[in-house]
Amino acid sequence: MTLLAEQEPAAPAPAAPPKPKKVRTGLASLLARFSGWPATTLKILALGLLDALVISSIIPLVTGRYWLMLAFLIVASLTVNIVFLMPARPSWIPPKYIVPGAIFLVGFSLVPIIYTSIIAFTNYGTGHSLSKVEAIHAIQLSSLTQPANGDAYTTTIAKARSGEYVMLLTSQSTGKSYIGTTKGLTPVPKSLGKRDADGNLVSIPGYTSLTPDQASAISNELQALTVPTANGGIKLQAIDVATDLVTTLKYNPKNDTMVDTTNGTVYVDNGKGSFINPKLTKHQAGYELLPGWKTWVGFKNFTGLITNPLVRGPFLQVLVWNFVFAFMSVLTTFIVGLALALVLNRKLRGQRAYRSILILPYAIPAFLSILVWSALLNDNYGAINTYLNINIPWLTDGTWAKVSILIVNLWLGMPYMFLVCTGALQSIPADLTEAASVDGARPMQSFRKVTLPLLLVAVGPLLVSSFAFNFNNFNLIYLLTGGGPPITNSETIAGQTDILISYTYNLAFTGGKGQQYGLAAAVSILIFFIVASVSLVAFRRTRVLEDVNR
Amino acid sequence: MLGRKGKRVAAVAAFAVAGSTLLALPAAHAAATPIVIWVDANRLPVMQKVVPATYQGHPVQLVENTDIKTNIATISKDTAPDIFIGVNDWTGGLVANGDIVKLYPTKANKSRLTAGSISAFALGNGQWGMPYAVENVGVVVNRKLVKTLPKTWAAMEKLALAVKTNLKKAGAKDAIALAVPQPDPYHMYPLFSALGGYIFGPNGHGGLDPYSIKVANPTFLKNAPLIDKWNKEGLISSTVTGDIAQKAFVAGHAPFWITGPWQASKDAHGVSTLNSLKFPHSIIALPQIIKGINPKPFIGVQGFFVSKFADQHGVGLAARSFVNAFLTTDSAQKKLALYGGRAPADPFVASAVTDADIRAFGVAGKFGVSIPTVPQMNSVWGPLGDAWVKSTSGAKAIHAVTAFKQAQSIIIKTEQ
Repeated sequence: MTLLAEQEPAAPAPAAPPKPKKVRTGLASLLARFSGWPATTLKILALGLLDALVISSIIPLVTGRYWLMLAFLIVASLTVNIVFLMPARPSWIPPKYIVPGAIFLVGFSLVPIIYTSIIAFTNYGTGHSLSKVEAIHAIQLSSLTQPANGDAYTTTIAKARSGEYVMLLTSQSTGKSYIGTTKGLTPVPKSLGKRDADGNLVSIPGYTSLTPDQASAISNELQALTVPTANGGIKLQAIDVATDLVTTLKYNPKNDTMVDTTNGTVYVDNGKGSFINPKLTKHQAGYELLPGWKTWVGFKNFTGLITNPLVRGPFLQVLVWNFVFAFMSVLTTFIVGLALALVLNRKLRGQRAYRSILILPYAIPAFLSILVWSALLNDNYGAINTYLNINIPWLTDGTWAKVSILIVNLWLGMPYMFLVCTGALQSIPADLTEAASVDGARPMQSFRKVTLPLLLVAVGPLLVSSFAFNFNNFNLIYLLTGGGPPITNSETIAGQTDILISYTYNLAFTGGKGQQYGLAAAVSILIFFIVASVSLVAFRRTRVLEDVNR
Repeated sequence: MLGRKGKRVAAVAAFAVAGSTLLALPAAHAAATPIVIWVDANRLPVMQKVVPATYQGHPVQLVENTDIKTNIATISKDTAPDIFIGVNDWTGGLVANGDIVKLYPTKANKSRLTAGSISAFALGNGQWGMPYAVENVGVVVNRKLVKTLPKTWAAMEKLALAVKTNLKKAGAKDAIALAVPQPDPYHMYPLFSALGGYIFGPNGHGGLDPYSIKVANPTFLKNAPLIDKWNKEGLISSTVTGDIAQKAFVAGHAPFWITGPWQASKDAHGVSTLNSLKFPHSIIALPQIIKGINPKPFIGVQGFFVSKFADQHGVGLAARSFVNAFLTTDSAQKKLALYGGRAPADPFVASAVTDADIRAFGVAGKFGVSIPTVPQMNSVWGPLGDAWVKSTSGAKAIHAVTAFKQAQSIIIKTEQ
């Protein structure tokens, strides 16, 4: 049963001389020209190019240690090669059509779903986005502090005959010069070595001084160079500047703790992705060392949905509005779309023009039209209130905001239902309704008992999918009301028109220290289960409708 | 010999090998590692004039990136920048994620910059970025509607309402008394601070305590009923969005507009919103609302960060010295001030700013405070904006005291 497009008339076979060779017209003849060796050459070229791309990406993937990506690419390209190089036995034809789509399905649908599910069990987010090793490195690096009376030195890097690198230092505060090696500082008397115009030591006999460019080329090696001093070291901060630094935090791998060398404080791994000072409480200064790292937190994100009062409080209200919004959207768009489809189903003058105008809202990008609607519906400055001289608080009152959302969604979604119903109506044979009217049925009765059931069989699944789409219609809520007027009588960050997904967005990304991807992933999975179970139940019921036909 | 299938497989294999060697060739030519700097679209023309072709043996590459803050959190080593431009309030999140490295500028590096702009990038006991420009909001005045600048808040309030009434009588349907985008706590901060509001209390070590929220402190609560008065008389309204405020002011339907120096930034033809107004304008700071409390706009300081990837790319020392030493020199700061469209963080080059509007915005920020850099600031914006919406939504507004008390407890609950 065709729903949307009308079938193209089959190309008539021309009156050809009785030869065994079939004459093909149009597209078929164009394609026929390519069979044989041109097609094979094209196939070999395309497969070769694909394989070349995969092979050339092996080395960067290996050095970057992207094992999963590498495995996926190799398996995918092997599959494609095998499927397309097999001889054209009939049993190998279906895979040729399915394999490309399946690969993209796995890559762009399955992988994100799996990734989201994995993140939901971690604490991935701002403050916990590194691995533990990287976090320890970052904490130690950032714990280097310049002591209050620490000095800065103008530096020249020099290379000893043994190949070791040393720093030729001149203090910026005292003007004294030193040579700094991995064993320590040794003063250099004024008589030894050459100095530049500002009195900075630039070379010493027995060592070759490097130019800034030469030094910059071995930057990493030089950054590791530390000249030990009484309570820290001197490290390079630029090619020509070194500073006194004191390490305050040291990692103890035996106990897996961070120790503050200035006052002995021990920070332990709290199992939740941070080093904490167990002697302090959560909100006291110095409790937690930043950055933390990504770690598994089990079901904490999911149980948090139930135990966290921030989530639990408005959850019921948000959920109820979510269901109401999705259901009412489908209902209103379907009724209006069906009514218009029925009206325009008969031969009218200008039928095509009406149809084109009614489809316009569907053709305009929804993003754009929602923004325009939010400007139109502005209480004091929107065109609707201004030019109709009314004073309805479209977007600032809770109830009216909900009405505005349903109106805008009706405007956006009605053309889709109109198209779908038009197609479905056209596929219902006209003799059924004729037979009903011959039997004495009134128009309303024949619609309800004959047309509607047949229509619902075709349109049922689309209604379910429209419900699922509107359940997560983030764009509309976010752009039109941003979650709606804030709830005035309780302390919650949910708004009056927030749906689950927009509430999750606010919770996960505008609270806390920044983005909380783990929490967002957990709520997304919860929403998926809600939508999936509703859809499953609904699909079962649409199958019942199909039995009407059998 | 190979059958038909075998020939095809061999052909594909041959093409694959040939193709992969061709593709791999360009990668083999590795030149000296470049220093990659990410800038946003507005800053690209400025940086092109300031940045040299090579620095300490490394070529310098400017890359335009539209959403630096989001991208820096999720990039991989190969595509990561070594240096990037950002605003000082990103510091908290970047440090929490371990994305940037500490800088140790010497006294010489810091000598030309104001202490305030340098401390804007300080967090914990470290310096995480080096500033080059400051921006803050000011009040733009329509001099055709406002003949003499009001010197006190009472005069300004009366004038704004009188002008709005006259404009409405004359038929301007979108007349606004004080055009300020709602609900935007950043733009509203001068009004908020003028009533005694501030966000974080001090932590006793000269910094801020992110867990001491003072949004509803006693002084502010005492003065908050003024917000109810403003809402009732129609001075500010939660229905005014940024676009509506701008449109009304540019059309001459609003006497006062709170906005920032981005309205003075010129496009390719040298046209900016402010210099294309059809009436003369001035830029002033908000007058004192409560005697003794100066309105303090938020000062956003723009500066440069060094990412952790600079060390991984082998250009760590060069990147650090670029940010510490090169960009803080007289000539670099002068060029940044001249073409940057913002007031410079280096007061010694203030004379390089030729645009009168930019200078006026700088003057209007005299009492400003820099946006707090602690990561917990992220959970302040939403509830604070909601509090403004709840208390200025016309007939349905609740008392400001209630709204801001709610905001304070929401912030305490949502921050971590």
